[in-house]
Amino acid sequence: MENTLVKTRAEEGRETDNPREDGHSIAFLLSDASKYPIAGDYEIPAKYNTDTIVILPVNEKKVYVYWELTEKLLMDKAHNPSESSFTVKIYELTLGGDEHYNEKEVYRTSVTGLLGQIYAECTDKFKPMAAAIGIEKDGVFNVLLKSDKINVPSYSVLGLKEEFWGRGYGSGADDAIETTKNVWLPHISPHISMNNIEMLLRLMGKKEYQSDDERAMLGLIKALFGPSGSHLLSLFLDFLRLLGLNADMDSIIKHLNELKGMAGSSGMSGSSEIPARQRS
Amino acid sequence: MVKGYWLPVLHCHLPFVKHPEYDYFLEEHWLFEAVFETYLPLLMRLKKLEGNGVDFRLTMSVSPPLVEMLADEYLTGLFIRYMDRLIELSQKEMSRLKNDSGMLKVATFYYQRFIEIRTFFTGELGGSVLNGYKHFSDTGQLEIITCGATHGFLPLLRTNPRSVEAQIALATQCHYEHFGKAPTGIWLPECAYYEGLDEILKKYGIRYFFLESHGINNGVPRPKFSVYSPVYTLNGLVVFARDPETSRQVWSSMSGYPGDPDYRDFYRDIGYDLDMDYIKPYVSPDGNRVFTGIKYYKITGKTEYKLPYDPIAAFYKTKIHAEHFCSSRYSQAEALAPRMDRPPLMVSPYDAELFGHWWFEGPDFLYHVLLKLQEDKIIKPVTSMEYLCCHPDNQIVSPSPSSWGEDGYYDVWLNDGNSWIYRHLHFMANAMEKIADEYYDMPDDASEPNQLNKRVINQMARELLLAQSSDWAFLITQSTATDYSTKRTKEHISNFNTLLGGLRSDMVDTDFLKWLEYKNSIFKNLDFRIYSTR
Repeated sequence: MENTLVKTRAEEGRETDNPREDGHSIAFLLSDASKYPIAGDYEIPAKYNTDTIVILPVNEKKVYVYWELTEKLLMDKAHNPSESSFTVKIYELTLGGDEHYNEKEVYRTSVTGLLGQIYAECTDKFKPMAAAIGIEKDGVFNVLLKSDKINVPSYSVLGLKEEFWGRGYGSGADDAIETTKNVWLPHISPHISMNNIEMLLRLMGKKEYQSDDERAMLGLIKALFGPSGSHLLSLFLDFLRLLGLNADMDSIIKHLNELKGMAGSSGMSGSSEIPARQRS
Repeated sequence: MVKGYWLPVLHCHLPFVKHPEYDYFLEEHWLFEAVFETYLPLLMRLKKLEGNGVDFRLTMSVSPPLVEMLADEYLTGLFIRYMDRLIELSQKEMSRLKNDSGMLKVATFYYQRFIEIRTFFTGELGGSVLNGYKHFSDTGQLEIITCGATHGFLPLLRTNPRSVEAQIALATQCHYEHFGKAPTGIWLPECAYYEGLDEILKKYGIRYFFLESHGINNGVPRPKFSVYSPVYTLNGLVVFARDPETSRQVWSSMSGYPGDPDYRDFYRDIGYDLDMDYIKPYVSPDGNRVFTGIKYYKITGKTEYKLPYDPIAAFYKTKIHAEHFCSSRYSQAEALAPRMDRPPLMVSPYDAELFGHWWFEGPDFLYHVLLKLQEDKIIKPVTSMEYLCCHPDNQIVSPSPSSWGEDGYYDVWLNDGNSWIYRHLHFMANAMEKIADEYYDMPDDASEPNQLNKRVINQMARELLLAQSSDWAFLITQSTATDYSTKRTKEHISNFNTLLGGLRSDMVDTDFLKWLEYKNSIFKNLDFRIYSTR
């Protein structure tokens, strides 16, 4: 059922109109008469002689990229050290096999100068992205530097639409969450992006420990999801623990049985979405 | 029966501004005005509530730079001088207006008020606003939470994760040093969130934080109860999001309470209205007019012709507005109830400086709201942890990257005007991390070279932290105090690089270092090793 309480940013627009509501306490204290009385100026470095390319999100549709290249880097990469024409590319990232990213070029522009910055419009909101700077020659893009990845989500990549409820950390569910984190969260930390269920399952295959309860539920999961069941079991159990439901195994088993029934009637075997559940 | 909960949050923050090199420094007055017109009047209303036996609840985020300034002896001394000058001016005003019966009343009101505030500060609070916060924190009526160490805009600092961690680690350390306990919650600087930040917060024992409405409403999956119930992040932290309706009622310049004709007009200040010869000793010595805080007119309406301010009428208007605010909450809770399985929670975060400084009668409004809620017992004011005790089961939602700035994302802090800052901040953070790793095992003995190096690296960390303050990028975007913000940013970048050069060449200018330690003195107990990856 559509949640009628929720309004997105786009839906609600700017709901207030106070010019001082710009998100900062200091706006209340500013005076137009304010003048800085210090006459001196401060010298700051024009450059740092460090090869750098950084991409930062600005909003849902825009990213910012800055770079600094050294002549040494150009020479190391067998380019003319006085080269000043480069190409900046931005890639949208999706995770492929073997923990490698598939890169889809979503933006490119020609730039000049060893030091520079650009803003780039990217239509997809907060998708994982990276930038690269290089030299294009004879249709080949020779990469000089690549940025770190940004906008690497965690939970949202699972594509979940269903509600999950829990008690958070520090409220009695700490142990469950800690266990979960120690066992598998390092594999899918925000720094290692996941973008599909298969990748999660593959990583979950690395988990060795299974309790009796978990093994007991393996049968149900296998019936539900076939050969990949053991992997999915691990994922599902860990996820349930993360939600703080580990103390209520009976209801989990009951729920899995319900899912099994649903899967049998709707033919959802193999679906990568976690099915709906009723809140008790 | 309680039909809902109200979680009022006041965010108190100012950037670290301290200029002992000048007798008078305009930007230091940001602190004095905020303390005199907001923090002290608010504490006085809380004392009044306490005296009336009202068991109120309020959450305040007190940012580490503000805490450090409130604890600074030099700035406290200047603040007392600031109050004394205002009292002197108000006395002169009574004399000037002795034949103007209408205005004399207002002038006398200011004189009495100023004396009352000064007495409260030097007497009851023992010369420190922090004592007032600690008192109410100990009674459990005021929940004090922290903020980023220097209010750094975390999503734009994350290229170096250690620098984000340092902002959180130092914030919790500072909170502990000044309030005697670790913070359970944090006001994220500018409410700015990015994916994975919750993991860092958790590492430092933070249990909850606040976001703008769309930070939750655009989350995945979409929250069943919107902003009317908190959610848990994947890492188990609690997120509370702003209720837009309560914000609008207070904030809106069109329909918000502060625009009422009976309230004091902010702009008509004698610092601008009176002859320069008369007012000169009380404005900037360079001849620039400034707000003095003495304002004789009420808003009156959309007219240039303003009527004299009537403090008593304004006080009673706050009571009417408080009743309206409470009754609106009751209706709001009733309207939300059919769509929820629990009483709704309405989270109302405001900049503290709205109350008192900008909206002069704001503290009285808050006083009346808290009084009325206690009388009616329909909506219960709560702190975050109290609410969670009653309703620990909440939905798990991955919040959306967001901020509470214009347009809801990062644009205010990253645009054509201020983007130049970030390459410097990132270089400094990376250099800091490298130095911290390199000197991590440096013995803490008293040998001169070791002590000197330690002081240099610690000061480098302070300069980095001060450069990271989101205030500078914000003010540049606002095109107000742009020169000051630009120079402050450049000053810290320059100081950092000068210290780094001295450290690398074994040629530290000790006089320069000593000066920086005195002037940019934030976080006395800072240990540079917080930047280490080890």
